[in-house]
Amino acid sequence: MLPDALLALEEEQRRKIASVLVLVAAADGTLVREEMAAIEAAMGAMMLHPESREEVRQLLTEPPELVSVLEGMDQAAIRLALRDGAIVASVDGEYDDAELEILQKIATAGGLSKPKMSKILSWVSKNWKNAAEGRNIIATPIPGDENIL
Amino acid sequence: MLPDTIHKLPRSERFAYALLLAYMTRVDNELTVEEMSMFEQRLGTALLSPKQRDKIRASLKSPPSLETCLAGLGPEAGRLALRDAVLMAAADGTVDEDEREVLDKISSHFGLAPDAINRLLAWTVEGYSWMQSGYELLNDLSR
Repeated sequence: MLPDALLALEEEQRRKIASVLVLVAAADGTLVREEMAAIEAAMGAMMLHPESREEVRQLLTEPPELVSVLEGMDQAAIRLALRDGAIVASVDGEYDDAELEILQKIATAGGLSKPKMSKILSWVSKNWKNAAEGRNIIATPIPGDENIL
Repeated sequence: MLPDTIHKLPRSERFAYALLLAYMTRVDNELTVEEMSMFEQRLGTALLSPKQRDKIRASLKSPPSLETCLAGLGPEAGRLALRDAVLMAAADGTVDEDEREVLDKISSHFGLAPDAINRLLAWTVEGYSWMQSGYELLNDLSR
Protein backbone atom coordinates (compact mmCIF):
# COMPACT_ATOMS: atom_id res chain seq x y z
CA MET A 1 0.00 0.00 0.00
CA LEU A 2 3.01 2.28 -0.05
CA PRO A 3 5.25 3.75 -2.78
CA ASP A 4 6.85 1.04 -4.79
CA ALA A 5 9.88 -0.13 -6.79
CA LEU A 6 7.47 -0.59 -9.70
CA LEU A 7 7.80 3.11 -10.41
CA ALA A 8 11.44 2.63 -11.37
CA LEU A 9 10.56 0.27 -14.22
CA GLU A 10 9.98 1.26 -17.83
CA GLU A 11 6.39 1.60 -19.07
CA GLU A 12 6.55 -1.59 -21.15
CA GLN A 13 7.75 -3.63 -18.17
CA ARG A 14 4.98 -2.21 -16.02
CA ARG A 15 2.40 -2.95 -18.70
CA LYS A 16 3.62 -6.54 -18.82
CA ILE A 17 3.34 -6.84 -15.04
CA ALA A 18 -0.27 -5.67 -15.23
CA SER A 19 -0.87 -8.20 -18.01
CA VAL A 20 0.49 -10.96 -15.78
CA LEU A 21 -1.94 -9.87 -13.07
CA VAL A 22 -4.82 -10.28 -15.52
CA LEU A 23 -3.65 -13.82 -16.29
CA VAL A 24 -3.46 -14.65 -12.60
CA ALA A 25 -6.93 -13.25 -11.98
CA ALA A 26 -8.34 -15.18 -14.93
CA ALA A 27 -6.60 -18.45 -14.02
CA ASP A 28 -9.51 -19.88 -12.04
CA GLY A 29 -12.00 -19.11 -14.80
CA THR A 30 -13.82 -16.35 -12.96
CA LEU A 31 -13.09 -12.70 -12.50
CA VAL A 32 -14.61 -11.19 -9.36
CA ARG A 33 -14.98 -7.50 -8.57
CA GLU A 34 -12.30 -7.74 -5.87
CA GLU A 35 -9.79 -8.98 -8.44
CA MET A 36 -10.72 -6.12 -10.78
CA ALA A 37 -10.19 -3.66 -7.94
CA ALA A 38 -6.80 -5.21 -7.15
CA ILE A 39 -5.67 -5.01 -10.79
CA GLU A 40 -6.87 -1.42 -11.12
CA ALA A 41 -5.10 -0.56 -7.87
CA ALA A 42 -1.87 -2.12 -9.14
CA MET A 43 -2.10 -0.25 -12.43
CA GLY A 44 -2.69 2.94 -10.50
CA ALA A 45 0.20 2.33 -8.12
CA MET A 46 2.59 1.77 -11.02
CA MET A 47 1.13 4.86 -12.72
CA LEU A 48 0.57 3.05 -15.96
CA HIS A 49 -0.32 5.29 -18.92
CA PRO A 50 -4.10 5.42 -19.54
CA GLU A 51 -3.67 3.84 -22.98
CA SER A 52 -1.68 0.97 -21.49
CA ARG A 53 -4.38 0.50 -18.85
CA GLU A 54 -6.98 0.25 -21.60
CA GLU A 55 -4.83 -2.35 -23.40
CA VAL A 56 -4.60 -4.37 -20.19
CA ARG A 57 -8.36 -4.19 -19.64
CA GLN A 58 -8.89 -5.55 -23.14
CA LEU A 59 -6.89 -8.63 -22.14
CA LEU A 60 -9.59 -9.51 -19.63
CA THR A 61 -11.86 -10.70 -22.44
CA GLU A 62 -9.14 -12.62 -24.27
CA PRO A 63 -6.15 -13.36 -22.01
CA PRO A 64 -2.86 -14.02 -23.86
CA GLU A 65 -0.49 -16.93 -23.20
CA LEU A 66 1.66 -16.43 -20.11
CA VAL A 67 4.82 -17.30 -21.99
CA SER A 68 4.27 -14.51 -24.51
CA VAL A 69 3.83 -11.96 -21.73
CA LEU A 70 6.87 -13.15 -19.81
CA GLU A 71 8.99 -12.90 -22.95
CA GLY A 72 11.04 -9.72 -22.74
CA MET A 73 10.37 -9.14 -19.05
CA ASP A 74 13.32 -8.32 -16.78
CA GLN A 75 13.85 -10.63 -13.83
CA ALA A 76 13.02 -7.81 -11.42
CA ALA A 77 9.75 -7.19 -13.24
CA ILE A 78 8.87 -10.89 -13.16
CA ARG A 79 9.47 -11.03 -9.43
CA LEU A 80 7.34 -7.96 -8.82
CA ALA A 81 4.66 -9.56 -10.99
CA LEU A 82 4.88 -12.66 -8.83
CA ARG A 83 4.55 -10.60 -5.67
CA ASP A 84 1.53 -8.69 -6.94
CA GLY A 85 0.12 -11.78 -8.63
CA ALA A 86 0.11 -13.55 -5.27
CA ILE A 87 -1.85 -10.62 -3.84
CA VAL A 88 -4.35 -10.61 -6.71
CA ALA A 89 -4.83 -14.37 -6.41
CA SER A 90 -5.57 -14.01 -2.71
CA VAL A 91 -8.31 -11.41 -2.94
CA ASP A 92 -11.16 -13.82 -3.64
CA GLY A 93 -10.43 -15.66 -0.42
CA GLU A 94 -8.11 -18.53 -1.23
CA TYR A 95 -5.60 -19.81 -3.76
CA ASP A 96 -7.00 -22.52 -6.00
CA ASP A 97 -4.91 -25.02 -7.96
CA ALA A 98 -5.00 -23.06 -11.21
CA GLU A 99 -3.82 -19.90 -9.45
CA LEU A 100 -1.02 -21.75 -7.68
CA GLU A 101 0.03 -23.31 -10.97
CA ILE A 102 0.38 -19.99 -12.77
CA LEU A 103 2.13 -18.41 -9.80
CA GLN A 104 4.61 -21.28 -9.86
CA LYS A 105 5.28 -20.71 -13.55
CA ILE A 106 5.94 -17.03 -12.88
CA ALA A 107 8.20 -17.93 -9.96
CA THR A 108 10.21 -20.31 -12.12
CA ALA A 109 10.58 -17.64 -14.81
CA GLY A 110 11.78 -15.25 -12.12
CA GLY A 111 14.43 -17.68 -10.89
CA LEU A 112 12.61 -18.67 -7.71
CA SER A 113 12.36 -22.32 -6.70
CA LYS A 114 9.06 -24.00 -5.78
CA PRO A 115 9.55 -24.41 -2.00
CA LYS A 116 10.46 -20.76 -1.70
CA MET A 117 7.24 -19.54 -3.26
CA SER A 118 5.39 -20.47 -0.08
CA LYS A 119 7.33 -17.70 1.64
CA ILE A 120 5.77 -15.20 -0.71
CA LEU A 121 2.30 -16.58 -0.01
CA SER A 122 3.04 -16.32 3.68
CA TRP A 123 4.14 -12.72 3.18
CA VAL A 124 0.81 -12.00 1.48
CA SER A 125 -1.01 -13.46 4.50
CA LYS A 126 0.72 -10.89 6.67
CA ASN A 127 -0.72 -8.19 4.42
CA TRP A 128 -4.20 -9.51 5.14
CA LYS A 129 -3.47 -9.22 8.83
CA ASN A 130 -2.15 -5.70 8.39
CA ALA A 131 -5.21 -4.71 6.35
CA ALA A 132 -7.51 -6.18 8.99
CA GLU A 133 -5.71 -4.19 11.68
CA GLY A 134 -6.26 -1.03 9.66
CA ARG A 135 -9.96 -1.74 9.37
CA ASN A 136 -10.09 -2.48 13.08
CA ILE A 137 -8.70 0.96 13.91
CA ILE A 138 -11.45 2.64 11.90
CA ALA A 139 -14.12 0.21 13.13
CA THR A 140 -14.92 -0.99 9.62
CA PRO A 141 -14.33 -4.74 9.68
CA ILE A 142 -15.21 -7.18 6.93
CA PRO A 143 -16.37 -10.77 7.53
CA GLY A 144 -13.39 -12.93 8.50
CA ASP A 145 -11.34 -10.15 10.10
CA GLU A 146 -12.14 -11.59 13.52
CA ASN A 147 -10.32 -14.79 12.55
CA ILE A 148 -7.22 -12.93 11.38
CA LEU A 149 -6.74 -10.54 14.26
CA MET B 1 -3.28 -3.19 -2.65
CA LEU B 2 -5.89 -5.41 -1.04
CA PRO B 3 -9.23 -3.98 -2.11
CA ASP B 4 -11.30 -4.46 1.09
CA THR B 5 -14.67 -2.68 0.93
CA ILE B 6 -14.23 0.57 -0.99
CA HIS B 7 -15.39 -0.95 -4.26
CA LYS B 8 -18.63 -2.00 -2.58
CA LEU B 9 -19.66 1.52 -1.63
CA PRO B 10 -22.26 3.41 -3.68
CA ARG B 11 -20.69 5.15 -6.67
CA SER B 12 -21.39 8.64 -5.31
CA GLU B 13 -19.54 7.79 -2.08
CA ARG B 14 -16.60 6.30 -3.97
CA PHE B 15 -16.42 9.57 -5.85
CA ALA B 16 -16.52 11.55 -2.60
CA TYR B 17 -13.86 9.23 -1.16
CA ALA B 18 -11.56 9.99 -4.10
CA LEU B 19 -12.34 13.68 -3.85
CA LEU B 20 -11.15 13.73 -0.25
CA LEU B 21 -7.91 12.02 -1.25
CA ALA B 22 -7.46 14.61 -4.01
CA TYR B 23 -7.90 17.27 -1.36
CA MET B 24 -5.24 15.59 0.79
CA THR B 25 -2.70 15.71 -2.04
CA ARG B 26 -2.83 19.51 -2.02
CA VAL B 27 -2.70 20.18 1.71
CA ASP B 28 1.08 20.63 1.83
CA ASN B 29 1.13 22.34 -1.59
CA GLU B 30 3.33 19.75 -3.22
CA LEU B 31 2.50 16.55 -4.99
CA THR B 32 5.30 13.99 -4.97
CA VAL B 33 5.57 10.96 -7.23
CA GLU B 34 4.95 8.76 -4.20
CA GLU B 35 1.77 10.63 -3.29
CA MET B 36 0.58 10.49 -6.90
CA SER B 37 1.23 6.76 -7.02
CA MET B 38 -0.69 6.24 -3.80
CA PHE B 39 -3.50 8.46 -5.06
CA GLU B 40 -3.76 6.54 -8.34
CA GLN B 41 -3.67 3.25 -6.46
CA ARG B 42 -6.61 4.23 -4.27
CA LEU B 43 -8.44 5.62 -7.30
CA GLY B 44 -8.02 2.20 -8.91
CA THR B 45 -9.36 0.44 -5.84
CA ALA B 46 -12.48 2.62 -5.95
CA LEU B 47 -13.33 1.35 -9.45
CA LEU B 48 -14.52 4.75 -10.62
CA SER B 49 -15.79 5.30 -14.13
CA PRO B 50 -13.39 6.96 -16.59
CA LYS B 51 -15.42 10.19 -16.45
CA GLN B 52 -15.32 10.24 -12.66
CA ARG B 53 -11.56 9.67 -12.76
CA ASP B 54 -11.13 12.61 -15.12
CA LYS B 55 -13.14 14.81 -12.76
CA ILE B 56 -11.09 13.67 -9.79
CA ARG B 57 -7.80 14.27 -11.59
CA ALA B 58 -9.03 17.74 -12.56
CA SER B 59 -9.78 18.42 -8.91
CA LEU B 60 -6.10 17.87 -8.12
CA LYS B 61 -5.46 21.31 -9.59
CA SER B 62 -8.28 23.04 -7.76
CA PRO B 63 -9.65 20.81 -5.01
CA PRO B 64 -12.96 21.65 -3.35
CA SER B 65 -13.12 22.66 0.29
CA LEU B 66 -12.73 20.04 3.00
CA GLU B 67 -16.33 20.63 4.04
CA THR B 68 -17.52 19.86 0.50
CA CYS B 69 -15.49 16.65 0.45
CA LEU B 70 -16.81 15.52 3.82
CA ALA B 71 -20.42 16.28 2.92
CA GLY B 72 -20.53 13.51 0.33
CA LEU B 73 -19.22 10.79 2.64
CA GLY B 74 -21.31 8.42 4.74
CA PRO B 75 -19.89 6.94 7.96
CA GLU B 76 -18.21 3.88 6.39
CA ALA B 77 -16.89 5.75 3.37
CA GLY B 78 -15.67 8.49 5.68
CA ARG B 79 -13.72 6.10 7.90
CA LEU B 80 -12.14 4.40 4.90
CA ALA B 81 -11.30 7.80 3.45
CA LEU B 82 -9.66 8.81 6.71
CA ARG B 83 -7.54 5.66 6.77
CA ASP B 84 -6.42 6.25 3.21
CA ALA B 85 -5.91 9.95 3.80
CA VAL B 86 -3.36 8.93 6.43
CA LEU B 87 -1.65 6.72 3.85
CA MET B 88 -1.65 9.61 1.38
CA ALA B 89 -0.24 12.04 3.92
CA ALA B 90 2.53 9.62 4.90
CA ALA B 91 3.38 8.58 1.34
CA ASP B 92 6.16 11.16 1.02
CA GLY B 93 7.74 10.05 4.29
CA THR B 94 6.49 12.80 6.56
CA VAL B 95 3.19 14.11 7.88
CA ASP B 96 3.49 17.86 8.32
CA GLU B 97 1.44 20.06 10.66
CA ASP B 98 -1.08 21.11 8.02
CA GLU B 99 -1.71 17.50 7.04
CA ARG B 100 -2.06 16.45 10.66
CA GLU B 101 -4.56 19.22 11.28
CA VAL B 102 -6.72 18.06 8.37
CA LEU B 103 -6.52 14.44 9.48
CA ASP B 104 -7.66 15.44 12.96
CA LYS B 105 -10.60 17.36 11.48
CA ILE B 106 -11.67 14.37 9.41
CA SER B 107 -11.34 12.04 12.39
CA SER B 108 -13.37 14.37 14.56
CA HIS B 109 -16.04 14.76 11.85
CA PHE B 110 -16.60 10.99 11.78
CA GLY B 111 -16.47 10.60 15.54
CA LEU B 112 -13.42 8.37 15.74
CA ALA B 113 -11.44 7.80 18.93
CA PRO B 114 -8.96 10.56 19.88
CA ASP B 115 -6.02 8.24 19.32
CA ALA B 116 -7.22 7.05 15.92
CA ILE B 117 -4.75 9.12 13.87
CA ASN B 118 -1.77 8.05 15.95
CA ARG B 119 -2.83 4.42 15.62
CA LEU B 120 -3.32 4.78 11.87
CA LEU B 121 0.11 6.37 11.53
CA ALA B 122 1.67 3.49 13.47
CA TRP B 123 -0.25 1.08 11.26
CA THR B 124 1.08 2.86 8.16
CA VAL B 125 4.64 2.40 9.38
CA GLU B 126 3.93 -1.31 9.84
CA GLY B 127 2.64 -1.42 6.28
CA TYR B 128 5.82 0.18 5.04
CA SER B 129 7.89 -2.40 6.90
CA TRP B 130 5.76 -5.13 5.35
CA MET B 131 6.44 -3.77 1.85
CA GLN B 132 10.14 -3.54 2.57
CA SER B 133 10.15 -7.15 3.74
CA GLY B 134 8.56 -8.04 0.40
CA TYR B 135 11.51 -6.56 -1.51
CA GLU B 136 13.96 -8.34 0.74
CA LEU B 137 12.09 -11.58 0.21
CA LEU B 138 12.24 -11.27 -3.56
CA ASN B 139 15.96 -10.52 -3.41
CA ASP B 140 16.75 -13.28 -0.93
CA LEU B 141 14.82 -16.07 -2.59
CA SER B 142 17.11 -16.51 -5.58
CA ARG B 143 18.02 -20.10 -6.24
